[in-house]
Amino acid sequence: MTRAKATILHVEDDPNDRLFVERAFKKAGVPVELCAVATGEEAVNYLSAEGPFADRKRFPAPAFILLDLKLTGMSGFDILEWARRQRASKLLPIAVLTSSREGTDVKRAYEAGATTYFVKPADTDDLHALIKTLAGYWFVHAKLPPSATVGA
Amino acid sequence: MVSVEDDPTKVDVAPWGKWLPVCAFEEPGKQVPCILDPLKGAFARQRMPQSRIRPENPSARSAATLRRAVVVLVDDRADNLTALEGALGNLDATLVRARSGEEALGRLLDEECACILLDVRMPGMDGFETAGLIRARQATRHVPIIFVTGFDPNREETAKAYALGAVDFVCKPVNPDALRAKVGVFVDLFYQAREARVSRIRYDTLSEIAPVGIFHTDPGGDCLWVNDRWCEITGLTPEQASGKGWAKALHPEDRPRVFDEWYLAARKDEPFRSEYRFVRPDGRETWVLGQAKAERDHVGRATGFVGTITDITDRRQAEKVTRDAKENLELQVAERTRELARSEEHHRLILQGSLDAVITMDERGLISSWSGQAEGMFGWREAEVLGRALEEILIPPRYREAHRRGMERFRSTGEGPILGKRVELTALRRDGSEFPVELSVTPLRSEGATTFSAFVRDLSERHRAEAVSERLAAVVRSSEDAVLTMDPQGTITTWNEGAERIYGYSSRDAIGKPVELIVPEQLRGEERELLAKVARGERVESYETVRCRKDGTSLDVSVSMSPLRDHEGRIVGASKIGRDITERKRAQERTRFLAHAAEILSASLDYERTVSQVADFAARSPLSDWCAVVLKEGDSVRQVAVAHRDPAKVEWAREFERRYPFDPAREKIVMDVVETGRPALFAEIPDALLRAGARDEDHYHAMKDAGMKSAMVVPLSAAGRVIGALTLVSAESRRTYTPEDLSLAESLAERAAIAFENARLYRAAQEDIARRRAVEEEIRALNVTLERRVQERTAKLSEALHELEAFSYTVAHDLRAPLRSMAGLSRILMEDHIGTADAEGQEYARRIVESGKRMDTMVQDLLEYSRIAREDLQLEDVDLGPLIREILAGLEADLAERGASVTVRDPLLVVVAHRSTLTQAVTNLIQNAAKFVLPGTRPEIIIGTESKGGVVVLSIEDRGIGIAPEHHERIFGVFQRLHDERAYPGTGIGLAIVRKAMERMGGRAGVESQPGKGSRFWLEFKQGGQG
Repeated sequence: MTRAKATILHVEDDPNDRLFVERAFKKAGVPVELCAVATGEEAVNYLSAEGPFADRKRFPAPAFILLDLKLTGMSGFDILEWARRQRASKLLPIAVLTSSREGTDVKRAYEAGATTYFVKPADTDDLHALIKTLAGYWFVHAKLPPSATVGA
Repeated sequence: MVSVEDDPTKVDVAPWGKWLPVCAFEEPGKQVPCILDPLKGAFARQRMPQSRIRPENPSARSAATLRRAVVVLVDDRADNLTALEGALGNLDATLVRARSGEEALGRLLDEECACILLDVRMPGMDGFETAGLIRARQATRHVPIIFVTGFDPNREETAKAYALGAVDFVCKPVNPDALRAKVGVFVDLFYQAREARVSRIRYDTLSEIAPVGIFHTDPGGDCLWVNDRWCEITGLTPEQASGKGWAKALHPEDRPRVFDEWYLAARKDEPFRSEYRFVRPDGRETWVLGQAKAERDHVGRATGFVGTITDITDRRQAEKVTRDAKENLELQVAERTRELARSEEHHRLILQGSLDAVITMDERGLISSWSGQAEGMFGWREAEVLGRALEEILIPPRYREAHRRGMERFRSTGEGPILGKRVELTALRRDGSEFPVELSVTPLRSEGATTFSAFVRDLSERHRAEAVSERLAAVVRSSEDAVLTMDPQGTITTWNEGAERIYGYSSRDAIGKPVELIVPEQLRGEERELLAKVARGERVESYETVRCRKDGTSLDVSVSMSPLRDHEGRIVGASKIGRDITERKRAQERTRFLAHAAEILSASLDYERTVSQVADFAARSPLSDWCAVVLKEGDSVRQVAVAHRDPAKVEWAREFERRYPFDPAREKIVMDVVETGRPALFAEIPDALLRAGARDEDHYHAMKDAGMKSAMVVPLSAAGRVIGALTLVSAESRRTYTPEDLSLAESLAERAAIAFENARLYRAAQEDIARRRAVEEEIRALNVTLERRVQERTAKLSEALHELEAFSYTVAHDLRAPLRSMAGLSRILMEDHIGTADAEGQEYARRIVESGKRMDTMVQDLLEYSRIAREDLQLEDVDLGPLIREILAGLEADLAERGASVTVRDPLLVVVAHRSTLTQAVTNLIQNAAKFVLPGTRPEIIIGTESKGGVVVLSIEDRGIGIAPEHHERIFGVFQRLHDERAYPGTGIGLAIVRKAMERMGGRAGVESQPGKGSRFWLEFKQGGQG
């Protein structure tokens, strides 16, 4: 039986990085839908099924969040903290994918409730390997928590 | 009882004694008339005829008066009767025959029968019938019946006999002895009963007629019976007396005593005997003599008491009369005795009082009598001196001639110089010592011969007393203190020389005047109090007060008073000793003055204050009116203070000062004192002095007006130097300064000088301190400024640092992102858009990617460097051994790939470092050592440590390509590379990081190397493990 495709919400402001991650997931060949938003506000709206993302048919509730820390407006930390307060996203696996390797950021992310912390590799090959591992771990081997929509 | 003399003729009656007829008592109840001899205190009995009393012997039976017991023998047969008579013959009883029962009955009525022997078988009335009748009759019912029978009685008959009251049943033939015995018993019984009856009757009769009250009580004292006389005496009826009624009638005062005595007597089994009173119902008292004895049964138990009471009221009355008379007499006797004793004493005294020796001398001058006193006085016994020449015995040799002449004169003229007069002479004792005597000689003429009778009195005692008295008087006279005596009213009775001197009154002036003469008005009350105290017998000791002299001046005195007593101890006046203590007081004042000065001087260390206070003090004291202080200051002398007790005057003085300021040149006297250190005293300020000191006329007059009388100038010297002078001037007080005053002023000056010096030194010290404080203040202020600047700078640095951090952070993210994009997009181009055929395109895209990567590495390196450069490193001891091994383990793969061999020279030391930073630095160095080798060569790395004077050097040696000396410094710079990237890759940040790291850890880094000879990189640390 084919599993319904899981939706990953990718929160990333840099369009190049969005592109690279997209390609990486394609290459990984894992049955996931990648849905990208550029700002923290958009992420909140998506998770709340509000605004432009109200239509859950078009924008299914995510089973996983890939989160950059360095965003304009709301920071990744803010989103992390917010998401952990919502019933819908409390249990969601949230992986931080960010350029900072600062220990303080790592600590803070985990304290805010991040599931995993990844540093964006500079090398494309490294990125592919990361995504492949991640996808395989979470969407092939692991059991994801049931997703729910806030307000649904 | 008093003793009684039997023979009144032997009584010694004193001439003035009286014969007092009186009654004395030989025994209770026996009154015997006597006479009283008061002198002997004895009673002499008058002769009285004795009454004869016939003793009674109650135990003997009087046969004449009492009848014999009767025994009735009843039998009809005469022979039986005879037999019975025979058997009972020698009983002490009369035997009576009766031939029949009727006869027996008749007999019984006539006689009192002790016993009846009844024959049973009789004609007519038989024995039983007879017995019945005997029993029936009251008078005879108790007669003992003995049945006598010839036949064997059967039981029935015996029983009948006994039922009839028989006492016995005897069978014929009768056993005479047995019968006699039986009957004898009844005969005895009869007699005893009769006796008892008789006694009883006699007793009752006696009781009736006895003049004494008789009573019976039970053992508990309850009255059972009293006789009539008892009732008469006590006034009670028998009913009233019964039980304890009799006790109630006892006088309450006597009752307890009676009971006690009765009880005691009963316990001791002695007769009770006591005199006590009954109170009759009508209230009259009756004195009785009560006697009682216990009646005892055969085992000795008391069955009751029997006793008598005898009315002794009369006797007691008589006793009282006697007693009173006796007392009266005794009083009289005592009085007489006293009188006698007094007169005896009197005589004795008289005799004694002629303690005077009594000596008689005949015309020839020989001693004819010599009294006992003379013996004691002169030491000669009578026998030794009688007949000897008086002059030899009694008169000291030098007076003998005079004596003889006196005797001569008398012989010729009949007169003598000492005769009839009391003269004082010196007499001679036996032991040769002389003593004063008083002599009184009287010539006695009788029968033509003259005897001289002399009374000689020893005056030694008197003379001694007089001498003592004289000495005491001399003491008083010569005493420096005023000694006077007063009578209780306070009038002066004696007045010694001392008093004359001290108070100025002669004894003539003073004696007879009241003591108020010398007491100032306001103290008179006090004096009266003192007098009162002494009048009570108390002493007054050393009481300080004030007296006034004749000339009106007053003086301080210390007074002691004591009561004067006469020989009987009564207070007859007071004696008073007064001592002039003016001098003492003055000395006290001086001490006080100096003490006060010392107080002021030590009160403050303030220079100005001390000086002005001292001047003030001196001016206010009695010592002076004006006080001025001049002190040396540097080269000159300045008047520092001037004082007067009147502030107005001080003002005047200041004004004066201003107009005529102290000019050392002109103040010669003061300057003299200051220079020489010698004081100056002007008891009177001569006018010339004022003139000399005055600057002008006004000045002179001003000083004159001030009324300065006397002056002293004393030097103020401390520690051997003269620091100034103190001037004291008396004006208003008109005091004239004496050398004593000068010495006081010098004492004051001494203390003042020291105080001034101290104050000055203190002030100097204060100034020093103040100066030092000012400097300290400055320094403190500077420090504060410095501190602030440092803080500011630190803040700025901190700020800069934070900015740098933020900057680094930004760099980390923002710079790397585009690089990432570059690399990634180029890859996409390479993979998806530039055909594999387009080798150039591929190549260019590859180079873009490579550049991007390189730039990213450099950015990371820079980030690393900056992190090390700015981070605060916590240093700790790091053991290099384990650390190196860790690092080598981490680099294992890389080192293995290069085929590097690493030698570690153990043991590696402990250093002070930051662990992770050190790890980084060492990693860099080891990587370098592995990298910079000739291609194809296997790297050789040697790691070791050595300790050098407090530092530890870690060296990492290699056999690599080496470094030219001119580059040794350069290589530690940022991004400094000596070789082509392609040959030896790397950004060139490694060594910069190493050096920076070492710097941050408080150490150094350096290199020793030669091209082609390998390199030795060394890191210098602080030695670890020092604690």
